[in-house]
Amino acid sequence: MVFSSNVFLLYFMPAFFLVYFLMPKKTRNYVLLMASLIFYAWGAPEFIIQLVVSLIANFFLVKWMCATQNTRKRKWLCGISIAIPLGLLFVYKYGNFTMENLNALIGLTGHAPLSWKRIMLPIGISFFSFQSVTYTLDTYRGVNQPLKKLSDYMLYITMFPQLIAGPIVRYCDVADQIRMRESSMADRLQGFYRFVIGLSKKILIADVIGLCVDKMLGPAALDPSQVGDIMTRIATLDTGTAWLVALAYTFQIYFDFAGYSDMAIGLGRIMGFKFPENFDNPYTSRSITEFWRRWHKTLGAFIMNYLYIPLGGNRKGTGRMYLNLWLCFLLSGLWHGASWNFVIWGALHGFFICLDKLFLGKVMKKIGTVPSVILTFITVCVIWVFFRIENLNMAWTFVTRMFAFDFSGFVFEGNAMVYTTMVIAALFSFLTLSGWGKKLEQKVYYTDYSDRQHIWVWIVAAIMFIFCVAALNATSFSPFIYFRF
Amino acid sequence: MNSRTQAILFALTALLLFAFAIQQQTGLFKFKELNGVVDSSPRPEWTWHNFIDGGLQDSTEAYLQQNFGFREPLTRFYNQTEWTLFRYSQVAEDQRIVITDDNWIFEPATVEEYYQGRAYYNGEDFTDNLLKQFEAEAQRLLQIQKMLEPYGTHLFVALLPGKEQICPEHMPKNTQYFKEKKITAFDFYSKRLKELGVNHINLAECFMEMKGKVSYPLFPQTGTHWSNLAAIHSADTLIRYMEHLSDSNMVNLTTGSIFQRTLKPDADLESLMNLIWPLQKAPNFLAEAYYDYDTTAWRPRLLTIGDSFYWNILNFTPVWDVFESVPYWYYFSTAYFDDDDLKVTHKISDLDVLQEVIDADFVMLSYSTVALYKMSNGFSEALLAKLEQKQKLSTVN
Repeated sequence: MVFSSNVFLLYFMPAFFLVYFLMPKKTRNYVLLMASLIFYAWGAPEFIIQLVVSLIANFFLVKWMCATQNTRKRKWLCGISIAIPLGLLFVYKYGNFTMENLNALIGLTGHAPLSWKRIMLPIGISFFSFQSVTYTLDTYRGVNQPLKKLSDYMLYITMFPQLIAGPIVRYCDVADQIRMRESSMADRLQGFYRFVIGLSKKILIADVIGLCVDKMLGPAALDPSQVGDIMTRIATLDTGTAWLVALAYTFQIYFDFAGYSDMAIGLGRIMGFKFPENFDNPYTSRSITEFWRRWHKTLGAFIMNYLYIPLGGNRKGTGRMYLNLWLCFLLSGLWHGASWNFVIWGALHGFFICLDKLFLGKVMKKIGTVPSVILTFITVCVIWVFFRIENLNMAWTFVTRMFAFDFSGFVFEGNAMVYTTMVIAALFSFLTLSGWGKKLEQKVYYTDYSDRQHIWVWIVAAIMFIFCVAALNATSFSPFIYFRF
Repeated sequence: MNSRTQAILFALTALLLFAFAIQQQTGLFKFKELNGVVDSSPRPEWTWHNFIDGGLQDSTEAYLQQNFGFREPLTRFYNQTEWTLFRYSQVAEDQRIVITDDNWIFEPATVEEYYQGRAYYNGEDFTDNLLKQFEAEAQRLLQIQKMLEPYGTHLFVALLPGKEQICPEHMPKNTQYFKEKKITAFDFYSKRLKELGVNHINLAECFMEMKGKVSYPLFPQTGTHWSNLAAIHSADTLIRYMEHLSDSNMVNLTTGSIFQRTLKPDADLESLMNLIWPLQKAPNFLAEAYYDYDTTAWRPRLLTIGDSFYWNILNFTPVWDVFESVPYWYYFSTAYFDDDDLKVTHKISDLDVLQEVIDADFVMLSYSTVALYKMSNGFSEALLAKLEQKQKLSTVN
């Protein structure tokens, strides 16, 4: 189930909150857990049993780990506890990728390829695997005590607001909130407003632009039969069109992902959870390093705490630091998807971060805010091409068209609505570069409203919610001409 | 601190969230249905197997999309917003309907037909192969025409005009279809029917003569079919043609006073956009058609095989009084018979096609420009085969 669906918006969410708030506080975690399991089962029914079994096993492993004093045994148990979610992640997410590449290598030796059955990717596995790892490591490191109740542990991992697409909530961030939390009326209302902001970002901006991007590049998961046609189109794109498509995708992915995070944060806030922020105006970054402090912040924090630092961080010399950085981003790329284009996307980000450390960061500081923001944005824009286009040959051709300086035929399939939406997206993306933009953001997101302000904001939120429901359904209502009148 | 205002707003939020489901379940408010036809999604089947294989999830979402509460006003509200702000219509985009700057609406097939003469419905270019198909169709019709003569049945083709032929000045000028105009199937077919001597009437020519002489539009601005008055004129012209073919006297049609009014079919393309407010457009005109009571006039039986244009003749003219019977075989797939609402339908495959044809005094094949590519939709082949079979049997006997 996704948030921007009728099942969720019109049935699941209202029913859940009704039951949740009608139940005594003591039982609300059970309600949330049940709802989360239903939420997940709706999207991946064949995987729910494995998820529950792995969670039960992991809960008791961690409990055992914390109870034991033997350091060696603790390490072993910690390792097993991490291996379970990561093993599942590897099998489900990278099984197909590994086999495809293995068979490609075997093919080079002239042997017959190994046969295997393609594995379906369970929705959200990348997120809950990482959360499971943070639970194990935070308790292993003694940052937090393990949860006493299995239901609380399962709740932490499967909590539906952040189960599918994050933010990656570290155990240490919500450990106390799981046990006890309060949600005032203001929290509930502001949670609702935040949810509507996210829904609007997703439906009114990302989806509108996305339709246009899909028209130009084909669907994200391209059918092999479509590759030829799309490749021909890309190979003949004029430079202006290529840049506009890349720009459109740059906005689409941001508003899509940030919208989802807003919805998750909003839903959490209605219940009294304070989930960490996941985005902080990433396109206003002055370097790629800064971009990663603002983009998918919870993933950045995860990689920093659970990968970069354990690898040695910057404590083992400059060369090792660069290697660690680059490795982290390579793996971050792979985490986003089991395909070489994601590896290249991560590697490119890692490369620019290394350049930042070497000299680029200083150059960017010297040239001033606006030029550095523009250069960083352009870099990000170009690198997104490898994120969007899975076929490497196609992605490379697209990038070459961006720099071909061939302005022979503009064929961007946009219309007034897409162009306006892109302008709005740009406005919101760069708003905080100005002082008043920052103030506005502060006001909307982080200020407690007076009652009068609540009334106005509520009215706007209600209209936006209704408009989003209308847009969600109207755009897919496409009747045929009926000649019988 | 929880204030009363905040509590009320929270309660209103709950009400807002539940409003859609409550409306869906109770149908508390009644709204005008959305125009157009969609493949309806059945109510989802709640079975374990359906849940596990994901079918339940997909069908529930599809069902909700078509049945959620307030769907009709919300869809219109969103469409109107898109149209007012951006002059954009998702339906027009999806169905490739062309809306010109001065709010003339055309089906894509008419635009393509006008500019490219493409075999739109067949999905192929207007190639030699297609010319051969039209040639074969014309030859078959000539054969059938001759074979039906002994039975007293007159076969003829009515070539109906398309909106693009009659209103070329409103055709979009800056679309992807805009290319050099080529010969169309209509031109070729009409020429060949004439050369071969197949009975036919080219109503497009009649309409072009009328255009400029009449003060009302022959095609509505936002619809795809001919107007009420054009249909009445066509019916009258067709009757005169039948009189000429059979050398007989048939009932005359007369037109009552003309008044300004837009009928639902006049905006059939616009209605698909499901807007709140109608588009700005030129007025449409309407008239009642009457028949001259004449007991000496012949009331023949007319069998029509045709496209949707014929509905306007059936709906706006007193054909039941002019003809003894008017069965209508829509695209040679569904047969409508003579009850008042034309609700009695049969599959063509259930009928004795030959007998029905022989029983008729006139068999009219009526196709407009864009539907012409379907030719008689298999009618000529089927009928010719049956006629040849009958001829063989009678020769043996």
